[in-house]
Amino acid sequence: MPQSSPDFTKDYELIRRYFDFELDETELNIVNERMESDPVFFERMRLFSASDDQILNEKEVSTAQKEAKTIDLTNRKSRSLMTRWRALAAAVVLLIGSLFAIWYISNSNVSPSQLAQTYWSESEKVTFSTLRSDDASTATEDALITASQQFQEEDYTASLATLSTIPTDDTGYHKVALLKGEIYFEQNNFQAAVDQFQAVIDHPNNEYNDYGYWYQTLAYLELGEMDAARENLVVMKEQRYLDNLVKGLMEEIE
Amino acid sequence: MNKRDTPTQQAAFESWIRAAQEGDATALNHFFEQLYERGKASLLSLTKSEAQAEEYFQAAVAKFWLNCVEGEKTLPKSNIEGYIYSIAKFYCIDQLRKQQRTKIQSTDTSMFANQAAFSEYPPFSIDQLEAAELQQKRRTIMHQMIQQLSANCQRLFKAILEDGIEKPKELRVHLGLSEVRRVSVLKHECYKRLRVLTAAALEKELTKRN
Repeated sequence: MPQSSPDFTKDYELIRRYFDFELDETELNIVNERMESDPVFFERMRLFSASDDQILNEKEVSTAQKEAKTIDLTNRKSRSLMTRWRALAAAVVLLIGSLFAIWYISNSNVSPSQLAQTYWSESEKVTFSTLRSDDASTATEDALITASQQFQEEDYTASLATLSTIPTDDTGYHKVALLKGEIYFEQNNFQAAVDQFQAVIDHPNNEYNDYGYWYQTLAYLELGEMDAARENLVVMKEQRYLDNLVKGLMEEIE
Repeated sequence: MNKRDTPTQQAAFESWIRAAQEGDATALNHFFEQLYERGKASLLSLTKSEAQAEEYFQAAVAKFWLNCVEGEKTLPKSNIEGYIYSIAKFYCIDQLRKQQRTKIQSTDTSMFANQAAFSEYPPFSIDQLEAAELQQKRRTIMHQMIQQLSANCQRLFKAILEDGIEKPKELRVHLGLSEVRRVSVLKHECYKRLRVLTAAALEKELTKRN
């Protein structure tokens, strides 16, 4: 049986590289073997993994996140296996991005508004800048693409004007509502944001419920409506939307 | 699963990742779906639940996505399928440990062929503390470990945590670095070191308590 290295740091460096996908074939085989036969090493893997999910990750500074902090979920459909992992990855990024700030404020008294701002400022925003879907008209798609680009350029007035050209009975209107809600949030118009996110949630069979609930929860926090925020978090927890974020925010609120 | 990817496979995989980075994840999704189907039986032997097997596979893929797609990290010089499957398997067994807390009882004999190994429990366990206590302890230790990092890393974390400076451009000025890119590199290196130091110190702390 391979012996665990008494040098904690050396083992943990190997484990870090394992979870960061940095091992070559030989090293991966070593880790696989030790995982099966070395209980101390396995416990170190557990300890590192549990810590890592909550503490730090260099992905905070990944290029993808640095650029405009947006994620384009344009072609997101119902929650199949492979869209769920993508959402999970987004949720983890979201959590990691907020981690330092959340950790910092967790030991101090902060207002719900500060909490909302902390989560919001580190959140990727859903946009539709490369939209090509089958549930919206061409005109709607074009408008959503333009409005998304304007949103990313922080030209919120122009973005809202573009979105206003889309009729409310359009089948893809929930996407419009989601983007509008994000704009209103940026403009500190939180009640209007809540209403837009509600329109997202109310839309039948839509694929953006998780973000609708999440952003609406943050808007409720801004409005000081704690009960409504908690109710949303309960729904999200039941539906397993953005698990890590929901768990973290619930703990902060309580 | 343990064979290294051929150059052709590696090239195909890299092209799928590039496409995903540009917004088209169709090929990569297909690859992951196929991979899940191939490895499902083995994961099921550990979890006994398809929902859980799927969940842990997703977690492994999410980790890959964060590193190699969003993080734009160079692909590992090893078999990608085997790598993802290895991490998914780790999550499955980790969950088993959480559920059983003190004793591993897996029916997967290949995974735990050496039962003697697991009759010798390690001198520490993350299960010995409640989640909230463990989390608090981690926070405390992480603070302590920051003090053991290089002066540059300490200044970086002070700027982020105490001064509330987050934007790379502002950090560059604050830290006196020549270009923004160096902020990213510094963060990357400091985080790596801190994660390792925190885990090692936490183990020492848990061992002491045991």
